[in-house]
Amino acid sequence: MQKEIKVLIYGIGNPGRRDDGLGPRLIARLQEEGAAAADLEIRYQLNIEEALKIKDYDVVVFADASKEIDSSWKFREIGPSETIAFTTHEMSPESVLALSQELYGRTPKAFALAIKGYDWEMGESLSEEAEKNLSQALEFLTDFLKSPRMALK
Amino acid sequence: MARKITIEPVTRIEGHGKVTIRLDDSGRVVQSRFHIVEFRGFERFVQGRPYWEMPVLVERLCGICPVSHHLAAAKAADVIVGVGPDGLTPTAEKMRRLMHYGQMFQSHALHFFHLASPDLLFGADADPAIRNVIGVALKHKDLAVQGVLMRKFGQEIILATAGKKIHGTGAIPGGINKNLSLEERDSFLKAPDPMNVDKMIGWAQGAVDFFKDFHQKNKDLIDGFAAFPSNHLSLVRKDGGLDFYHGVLRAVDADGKKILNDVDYRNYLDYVGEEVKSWSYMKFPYLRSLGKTDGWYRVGPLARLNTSDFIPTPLAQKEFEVYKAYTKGKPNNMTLHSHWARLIELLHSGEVIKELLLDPDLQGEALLKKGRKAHEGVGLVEAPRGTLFHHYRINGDDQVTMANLIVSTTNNNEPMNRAVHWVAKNILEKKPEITEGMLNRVEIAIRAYDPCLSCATHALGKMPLEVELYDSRGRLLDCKKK
Repeated sequence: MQKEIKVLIYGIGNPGRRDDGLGPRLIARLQEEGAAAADLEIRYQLNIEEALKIKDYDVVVFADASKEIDSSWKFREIGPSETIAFTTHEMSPESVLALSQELYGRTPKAFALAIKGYDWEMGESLSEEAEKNLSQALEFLTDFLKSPRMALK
Repeated sequence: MARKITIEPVTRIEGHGKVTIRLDDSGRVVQSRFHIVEFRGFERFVQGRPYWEMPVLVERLCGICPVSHHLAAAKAADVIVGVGPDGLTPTAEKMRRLMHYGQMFQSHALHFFHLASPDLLFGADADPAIRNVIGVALKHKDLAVQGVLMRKFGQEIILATAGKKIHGTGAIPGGINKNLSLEERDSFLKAPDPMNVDKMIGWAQGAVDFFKDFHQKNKDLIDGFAAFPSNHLSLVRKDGGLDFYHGVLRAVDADGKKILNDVDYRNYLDYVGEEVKSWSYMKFPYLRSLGKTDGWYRVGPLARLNTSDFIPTPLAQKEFEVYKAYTKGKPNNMTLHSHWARLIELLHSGEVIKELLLDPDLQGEALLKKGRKAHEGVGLVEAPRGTLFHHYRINGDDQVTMANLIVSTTNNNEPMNRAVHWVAKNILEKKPEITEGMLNRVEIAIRAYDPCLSCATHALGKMPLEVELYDSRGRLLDCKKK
């Protein structure tokens, strides 16, 4: 019997800043649908203790809003990186992976799911365009979660 | 050639912090400024919302110290429902204290192990690729592991008291919505090493000892770097003891003379003004009795240990006595001693967490009180970075009509500018070339205040730091990113 693949999905962002809440909203939608064979976590931002958490997973997806991408969503594999932000209290997914590697000797297979956002003002609803992008990203992620073992190949 | 040096983190929405240093043709510093984009729009955003939403709504200001905003807003709402600031049930007040000291513990641990220790362990001239927490993990794995687990311990305290690690709902106007079960209590008191409170206190003591040892070997750096006299402001307990959750407002000058003598913080507008400057979104608070020019003050660990007469837990009090003896009882105005003060507060937080866990009031059933309704409330707490003011007025429909927030980083606006100016004058001036190490020293000066630059949003794949060099005509000569 094959070992179960443990998957963790982070939704990162501030739901009080409209489209910045795309990551948390993605997690909420996955929770509503109840079908995702993955552990789901919401974070305003990532920090050092996530290195402890991710070490126990085979696959981790970091879902966050993006201003930069030229498509409605983008999914890419990421690896450890030692870049640390200046004087801030957050870490990039790549830095969390690097810290986990140094402290615990392992990193999971990791992916970034960027979802394009447009409106970053204060408010609790997503923009109409971001809602559409979220639905498309969710459709992709739901498919991905049906066979996470593929991600390990 | 006259030059302008810009250090600017690039973010999705707005620059969180930017340093500009202008040099004239001879290399002398003619101006230095530290800009932070402040979240003032939030005060308008909450207008029209019911006051009882404030403790949850304001947490969205920040993912780093949401508990501070949560509790400051809850204290203001306590006043509005007629029980504040001293009328909470013992269970409610102690649960809030546990939440708050849990946050202080995790925040101070994060600052030391993640942000400060790389500067101390590797030095300002070290390669940025190793001068970070991952570098600490490579060279000093034990310290990095402690940092991760101390942060996690504090987060678990917050989870048990607030319901969530981020943006909890524990404090409500007039009280708290849960107590601490015996199972939750024992998970902190009796868990196997290392995730129990005794181990955490031991590690906190170890961090204080580490700093003292480092100080002994690096006195010139720690004592002299970005040191300047200032006033200091914080809450203190009514008997003068250190207290992060509640008390009276005290301010002292650089020699220890009291400027504010234990006044009721609800009257803060009588004592504190806010100056607007054209070049910064962030206001510059000052003590009205001293005026705009001389009334600026520091807040945070350094200020708190200058205003407090004692620390009401034994291990931290012992360290406080050593700390105070170093300045012969006078206020400490050495910027890098903020790290020392912060670690003493870390130790104190661990001790308070243990005291509270052993207190049976945490299992009490009386969680909420109500009194005579008021239409205005002020709440203050000592957040990890310093004094945090929340002030609300409401109308007859319970809607917020006015909100005024003075966050810790705003209180430290002028001191951080002074620290940057010290580095500019003492490190950068008259140098033919601006090196990476010089710019790192600007960061170190700012970092001592642990400013929260996170009251906005964050994105994947953004370059966190950009350094640009301009000539006197505004032409970009050089650009460095890291």
